[in-house]
Amino acid sequence: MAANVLTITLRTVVLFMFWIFFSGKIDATHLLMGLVSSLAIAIGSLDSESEPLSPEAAMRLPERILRGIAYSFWLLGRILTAAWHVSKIVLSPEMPIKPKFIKHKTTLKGEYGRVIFANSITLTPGTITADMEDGELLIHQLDDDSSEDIRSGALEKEIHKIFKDG
Amino acid sequence: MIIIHVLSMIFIVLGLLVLAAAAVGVLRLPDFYTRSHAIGVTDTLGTLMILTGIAGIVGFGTACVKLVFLFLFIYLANPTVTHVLVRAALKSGLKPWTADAKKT
Repeated sequence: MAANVLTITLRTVVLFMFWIFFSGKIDATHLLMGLVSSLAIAIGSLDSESEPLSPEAAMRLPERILRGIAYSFWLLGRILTAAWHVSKIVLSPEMPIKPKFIKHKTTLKGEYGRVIFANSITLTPGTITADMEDGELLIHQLDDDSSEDIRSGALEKEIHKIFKDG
Repeated sequence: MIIIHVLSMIFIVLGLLVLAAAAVGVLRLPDFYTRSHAIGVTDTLGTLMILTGIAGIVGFGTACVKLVFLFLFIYLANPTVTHVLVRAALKSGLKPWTADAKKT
């Protein structure tokens, strides 16, 4: 029960922040309406199957979010370089492409880590995750340079940093 | 203020040029899989530049926060859709184009 209260509180806070940003009105009526609906959704979206958030996990959240933001900026830098690289390829007259499927075994164990990894690969121009089975990814690459970060393990290393506390 | 407006315009025009480059890529690349890569440029570099430009014009406020959420949504939804499309193509047996199979 205590864990449920924690989950509800966290969800309400997040939803309420969304409400404030999207409505942009800070008078009593709007805030109260937002708070009531946030609470209603937080309670209504509880399901018995997902395991409740433990206080320890909740304590780790802020740090993880900060590291996640740091990772996003790192990834953004890589994406910009890759986008520039792909643009150059498609605009050059001889179009030097060497498309092929490559296999990559990931060292990431957690579900979230793997999803972030697969999503980051597809987000980076030049590489697309086509399939993943038991941690083995099937990746389509536009040319050999595109998949450099994946093959060298640089991308995985950055994701490991987010989840280093387990 | 005028400087920010000019900068925003430059960002939007650059974004449009990136979108044009990606469109050229979609037309020139040989098959479905490689074309998906060109789309990737559109939704990363292109949207980033255009949304940055718009954010400069609307200024700091709730509209700006909404643009950030729009940006985050695009960055989450686009790879998912691209992945599902490529996976579906692969499962239905579409053969990928290779450089040594035929010369354009």
